[in-house]
Amino acid sequence: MTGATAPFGRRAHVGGALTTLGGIARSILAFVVVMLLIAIVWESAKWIGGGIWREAFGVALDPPHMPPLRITQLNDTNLPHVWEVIGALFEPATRRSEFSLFAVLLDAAIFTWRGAAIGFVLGAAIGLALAILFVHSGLLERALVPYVIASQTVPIIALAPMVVLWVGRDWPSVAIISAYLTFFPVTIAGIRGLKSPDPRALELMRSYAAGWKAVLWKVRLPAAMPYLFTALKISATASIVGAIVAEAPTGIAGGLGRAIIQFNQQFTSGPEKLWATAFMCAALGIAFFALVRIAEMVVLRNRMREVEA
Amino acid sequence: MKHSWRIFTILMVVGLVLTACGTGGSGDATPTAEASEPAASEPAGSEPAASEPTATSDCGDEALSGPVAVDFQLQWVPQAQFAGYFAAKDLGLYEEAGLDVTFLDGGPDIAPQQVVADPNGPEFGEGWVPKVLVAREEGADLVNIAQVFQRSGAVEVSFADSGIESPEDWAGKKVGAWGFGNEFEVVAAARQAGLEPGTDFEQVTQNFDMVAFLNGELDAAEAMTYNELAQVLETENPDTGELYQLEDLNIIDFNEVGAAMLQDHIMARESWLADETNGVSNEQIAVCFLRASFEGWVHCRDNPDECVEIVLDQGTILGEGHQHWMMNEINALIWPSPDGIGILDAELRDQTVQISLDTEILTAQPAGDAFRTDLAQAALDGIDGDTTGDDFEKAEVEVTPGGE
Repeated sequence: MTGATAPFGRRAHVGGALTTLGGIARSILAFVVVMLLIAIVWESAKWIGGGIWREAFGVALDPPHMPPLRITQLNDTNLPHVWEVIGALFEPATRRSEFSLFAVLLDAAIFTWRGAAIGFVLGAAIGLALAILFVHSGLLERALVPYVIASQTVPIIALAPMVVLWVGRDWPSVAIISAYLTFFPVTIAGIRGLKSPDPRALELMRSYAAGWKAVLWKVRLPAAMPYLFTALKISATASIVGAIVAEAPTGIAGGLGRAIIQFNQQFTSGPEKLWATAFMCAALGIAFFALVRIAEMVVLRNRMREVEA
Repeated sequence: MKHSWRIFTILMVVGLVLTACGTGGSGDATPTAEASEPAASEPAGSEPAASEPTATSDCGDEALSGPVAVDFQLQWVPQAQFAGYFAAKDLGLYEEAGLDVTFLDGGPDIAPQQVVADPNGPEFGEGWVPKVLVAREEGADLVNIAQVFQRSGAVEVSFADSGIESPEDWAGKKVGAWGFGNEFEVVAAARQAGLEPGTDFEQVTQNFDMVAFLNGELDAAEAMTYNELAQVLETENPDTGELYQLEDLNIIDFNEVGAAMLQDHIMARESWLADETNGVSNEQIAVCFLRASFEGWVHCRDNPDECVEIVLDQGTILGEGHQHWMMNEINALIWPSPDGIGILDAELRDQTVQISLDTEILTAQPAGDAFRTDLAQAALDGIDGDTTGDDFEKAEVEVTPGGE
């Protein structure tokens, strides 16, 4: 049974579900308000120190507005108008393109997400396996955790080209690099989470003569769930960053990385396209984060209800 | 509790399956070129060159004992700079020559000379001469087998009102130059004018865009005629609301001041060339590859608009106007080719090496056969039609805002 059908099936839970829906609506509203505020600050800054305003929202200004200050960082090349960035998304990607830039970027985002998601699942599985290993062997934990930490100090930008040379220029490389960024938070949070059960619960299991598998399955993993989801939310966004970093410098075509390279090259004459691409990257990260958040709400819904009660 | 763990597992599995299923679909974004009608300039019957001991003029499946798969490493993401090669594939010229060519895209972290130097790397690569000479000096067994661009595409631009008309005028100014080995022509031009970068003027490492120049942070900026120069012209002048015009700019052409270095050429490994595939010498395969590539470039000289279409099919976000400009400028870098396309100009080779020595990017004259013209010559000998382009003249290309 999923969260969506629960309210209709069981009257008692309607209240709980509504609170959750209300919470989602509130966070969406807050997000929109913050975005609007950023847009207002952005445009105000340009009004004071940007380039000459010949138009606003596609309407010609006559006479043009001359900002009192001229600040390089705020001119139309460095900081295009908000409506130009949004407008670019809905205009054809190129003069002859039958698709809007938004559609093209969405396509690229799906390509990038595919690599990132495979890497995310792979990284989460490896991360969890390592955490289970470390929780059951103090020796391995002491011996290997420093290396796990050290692995994250290698800049991904240095690692990506090597992986690509090794594995080839396609999504498997992207997935491996994403997995590399993803496993670490899961391992660290997993170790804490798996060690988090009440000692009395572990003692009780021991009194039943339960084996380590039963303890893991019935006590440790359920207790670790909130920790794991916190880590997975971090990993979700990290996996997107990893995928883009893997694609961009190494000539992998089809994803957001390639879009960044090409629009970066066109930045002089069309900065709004690179801004729109950056916006799309952020949206993809947020969407993946939200997906994990929804999974968390579904998996942990009983626990949330306990908290709410 | 137990229940929630099971759901989690199911979610993970479903996620894995979904993502795995998804990958098969639109993974190959690059359209595979289908063999369309044979090219207008069909390689006429083989005409064995008597003076050519290493390779005959025979190409095609039979001559090569079946289609031979070769990889070709490009310097950058697909654009009209590589139009001739895309055309050779799209028109089926490679296929006719008995080759199955796969293009490998470049990118900021891809150095073609390093990729090709790998013994298991692609058979052919495309790069700038000085960088490949440096790689050779460091031990890579790379050899230049065809000098496709006959002249340098680099210029130094400044605004017309800056008063900069020749390298001498850089004195006391902020002069932009790229890093990564793209700055040598600026240094060479300055030294010829009696200026020392760093003392007589400030040499600023610039990005691969023209923002700093347009913002006035640089007095002069390095630009490729086919790319960055077009970007300036595709940009709106904030003071007028119109696009920048060529009249607004002073352009110093490194070819004219004698500081040009050779750029795009085709490289291969000596060890690979000495080897054989399916009982056919790799030199023969290289000849066939060069012949089809040259025919692609000839086709793009005579049909630039068609070639722009072929290039635009390589990527969904390439601006049409920008690629038209680039195609025209690239043609001007290749044509005319006085001794035939791909044949190295010995004088420019010496100038390139000399500048490399003067700017200390090379410590000694390139050892051995760093440059070979015999393979390109054998390739040319099998081509009917105009391979020199003596009558070539640049077209007028309309600049579009944003290069769209």
